[in-house]
Amino acid sequence: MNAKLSLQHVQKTFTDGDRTLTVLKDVSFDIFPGEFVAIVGPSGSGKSTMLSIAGALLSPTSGKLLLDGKNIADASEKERQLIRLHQIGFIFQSSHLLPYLTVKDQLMLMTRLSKESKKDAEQRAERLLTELGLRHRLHQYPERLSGGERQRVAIARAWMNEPDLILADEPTASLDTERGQHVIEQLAHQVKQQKRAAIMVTHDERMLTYCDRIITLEDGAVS
Amino acid sequence: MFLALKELRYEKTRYALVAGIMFLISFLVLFVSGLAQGLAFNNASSLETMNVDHFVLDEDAEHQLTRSLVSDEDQQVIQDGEVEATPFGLHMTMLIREEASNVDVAMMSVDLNSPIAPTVIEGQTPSEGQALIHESIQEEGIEIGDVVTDNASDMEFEVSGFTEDQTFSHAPIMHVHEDDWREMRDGEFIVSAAALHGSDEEAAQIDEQLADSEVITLDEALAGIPGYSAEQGSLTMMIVFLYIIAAFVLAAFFYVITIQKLNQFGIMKAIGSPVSVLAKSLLVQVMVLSAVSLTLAIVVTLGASQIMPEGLPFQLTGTMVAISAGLFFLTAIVGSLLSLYKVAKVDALEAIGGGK
Ligand SMILES: Nc1ncnc2c1ncn2[C@@H]1O[C@H](COP(=O)(O)OP(=O)(O)OP(=O)(O)O)[C@@H](O)[C@H]1O
Ligand SMILES: [Mg+2]
Repeated sequence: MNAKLSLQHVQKTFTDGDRTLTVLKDVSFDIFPGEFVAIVGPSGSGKSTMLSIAGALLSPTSGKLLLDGKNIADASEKERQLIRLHQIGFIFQSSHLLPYLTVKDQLMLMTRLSKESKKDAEQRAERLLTELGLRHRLHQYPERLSGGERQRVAIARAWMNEPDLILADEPTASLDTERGQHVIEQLAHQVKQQKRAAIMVTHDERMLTYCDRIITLEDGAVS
Repeated sequence: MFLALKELRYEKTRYALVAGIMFLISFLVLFVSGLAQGLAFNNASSLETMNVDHFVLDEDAEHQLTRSLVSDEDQQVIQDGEVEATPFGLHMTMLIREEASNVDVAMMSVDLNSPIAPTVIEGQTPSEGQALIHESIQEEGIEIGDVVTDNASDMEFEVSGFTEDQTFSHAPIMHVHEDDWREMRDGEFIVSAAALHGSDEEAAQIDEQLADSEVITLDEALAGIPGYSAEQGSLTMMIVFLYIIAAFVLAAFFYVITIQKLNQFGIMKAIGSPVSVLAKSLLVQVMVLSAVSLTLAIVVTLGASQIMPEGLPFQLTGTMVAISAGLFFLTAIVGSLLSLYKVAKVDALEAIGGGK
């Protein structure tokens, strides 16, 4: 089976004035369809940086990044934008919703951006939000939601375009244990059922039980 | 549209303030434009209402109608030409009144059956010894039947009626009978100029045949009126500066708003929005704001022109409103260019705070 996502000797260096900081030294791993992988590691080890690279938000300094076998390490901004829109669902550490859209519109925006038909989308948006316990919040603006509710909207948004690859950076950090576990359980279920792939950065040991594999990142390298 | 309108609705106060500023600026632009046009018309309404594009003037008159004297030879050329032409006499003078102040007028004599004859709104056309004056003379307390004395000729005239849109160099025009005009110059009918009722080509043709005279355009004739260019020039300058100021003010407003929203633009880019969607959304907002504030400004300007005092020269034609609106739109778009550049350049990850 071909890897959904493959990082090969990925290196990332930040330059700040005349100082350079190598955050990722040499990271290589594969993720296969149907796999739910956890990334753990101490703070500052480069987990978020690695996830941004995998999510086509950041270009690696060197190394290869294969998405469905195609190297996107040197993809243009336009190509990366299309990849982010159609192939990847990204859940950030904080929800990053648009203040002027209601919960349902946050999801409908994804449909509009990808120019899909609106009809099935409405149903899918409502179903996703219902599954995440937000049925009664459909027409509310983010400012009226709790942190946990906002994070769940962000998760629903990441799922909205049915991407093959979901990347989540501490998605449960702002949820209570029970809700957090429920959300991750659903994520794991979706990954299995629809043969998708997911990578989740987490500090929460309890979430690891839902994952197939744990990758530990330490000091910019897989250990 | 989706994003642009939802955001305008959500951020009502902020965008209402911007629209308010845009309204004030566009109102000012329209108002000054109306004044410029009103003053231009008030200055020389007689020329503008003649509805001709060309005049024959003495070559040495430097485009000044009141200085011009068309030679007999050239009068013949005009008469023989294929183009219909109306000669007229014009000079500035003053009316002397015993118990009141003197009044400046432009005295004019023209065939009252010609196409450029004035419209009588009260009273009747003058016979010998009578004068037909622009209605604004009433502000000086002059009524039909009054007798006025011309300072230059010492001749007396009885006011026979009033006209509309007959001013020259901001003075009311006093139309007198041909015979009186002759009498002033010892029996000779002095022709200051002739209005040509023909096309550009026909006018050019006449121009070639003239000996000591030349054909000039309406705009040249207007610019030749003392003070006309200076008046219009300073108003035009004000209008130009208003547009420049508008462009800068709007650019600053849009830029500040864009900077405040960089985080949102970052989010949009991070979830895969193309730059074009963001740019379109910004432009739609700018256009909606411009359209709303312009509509309001036009309505208010037209409303204000209704309740303005009589003496204030103000005129705003549909064309002028359309041109101003178009220019203002353009100014707003130009003002948003800097913001568009910023939006295109913003880095998604940086804008949302490094993936947090
Ligand atoms: N744009 C940047 N410029 C310079 N240094 C950066 C940049 N982004 C991240 N770093 C540095 O890279 C290192 C790794 O950061 P990263 O956010 O990937 O860590 P992390 O493993 O996600 O940590 P945490 O668990 O606290 O979220 C940190 O030392 C950080 O300061
Ligand atoms: Mg992190």
